[in-house]
Amino acid sequence: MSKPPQNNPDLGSALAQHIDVLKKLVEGDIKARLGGEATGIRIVDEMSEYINHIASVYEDSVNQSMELSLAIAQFLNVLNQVAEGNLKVRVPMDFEQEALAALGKGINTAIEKVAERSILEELLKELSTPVLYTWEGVIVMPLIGTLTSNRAQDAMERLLNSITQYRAKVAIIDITGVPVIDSMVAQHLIKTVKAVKILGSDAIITGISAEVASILVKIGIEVEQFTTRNTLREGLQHAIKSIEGNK
Amino acid sequence: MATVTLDLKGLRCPQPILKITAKSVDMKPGDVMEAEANCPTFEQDVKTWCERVGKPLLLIQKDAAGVFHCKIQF
Repeated sequence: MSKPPQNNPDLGSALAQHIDVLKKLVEGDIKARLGGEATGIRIVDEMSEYINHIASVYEDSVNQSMELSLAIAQFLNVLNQVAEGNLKVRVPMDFEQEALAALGKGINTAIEKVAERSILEELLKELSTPVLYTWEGVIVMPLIGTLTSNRAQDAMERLLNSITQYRAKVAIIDITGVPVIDSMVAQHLIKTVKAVKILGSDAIITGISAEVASILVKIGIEVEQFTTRNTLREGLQHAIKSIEGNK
Repeated sequence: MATVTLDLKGLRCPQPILKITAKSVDMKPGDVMEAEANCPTFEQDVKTWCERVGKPLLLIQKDAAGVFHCKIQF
């Protein structure tokens, strides 16, 4: 038969232990527990059991929150690296919590799709500004479709690299397939022609449509700055003559 | 290279780690984060955090008042 709580000298000591453990839990010591033998005071022993049970539940909850927090850190770390251009990084898939594993899988799938698109864009960029080595000392860059400022910039860089690579004396930029250009793109073309001259080569622009010619005049581009020919064929003839003449 | 300081005293697990995580997105390569915390599990928590995100933990020590001081390299 247990002793009544009143006038029990052990009661004060037991409650002090309870308070001590509860204080440690509140301070963040999630492993704090009541230990020792049962006191024999039913209400105290039941309370000890409940405190330890609640402490275990609390520890599990904190551990799960910690796991969630660490996972958020890992996800953010991966996404930051992706934002900086690293498309090879992936979220490690070792999460015990199902929801975190699903989120990690979703992030990895998204990164894979971005990586695939990036490869395709790179390929498209190369295909949209091809350089053909057509005759000894002559290269041709046929441009097709709408020229954006970025694409014109890419085309310029590629053309200049190709002049160096093929030691070209003449570079023909054929814009037969370009329906329309704006002032920014026209400025890029002028810059390209100037850069080609700096490299010691000549640039010929062929295939200027009536519409493009009209735009060039309207925006004040001095056509005298360019060597132009009506068609790619005429441009090639001019280039070959120029090469042969200099031999 | 900047040094960012975080006062995490009074916060309990996992709040200090969440604060470090939130601040980490503003850190640039070469920056150092210095944090102070008095959560009893902070030492193990910050070690695990650094391990998971691949950042070197330059320092972790506890002073006489029970406050942890850590430095994380970004």
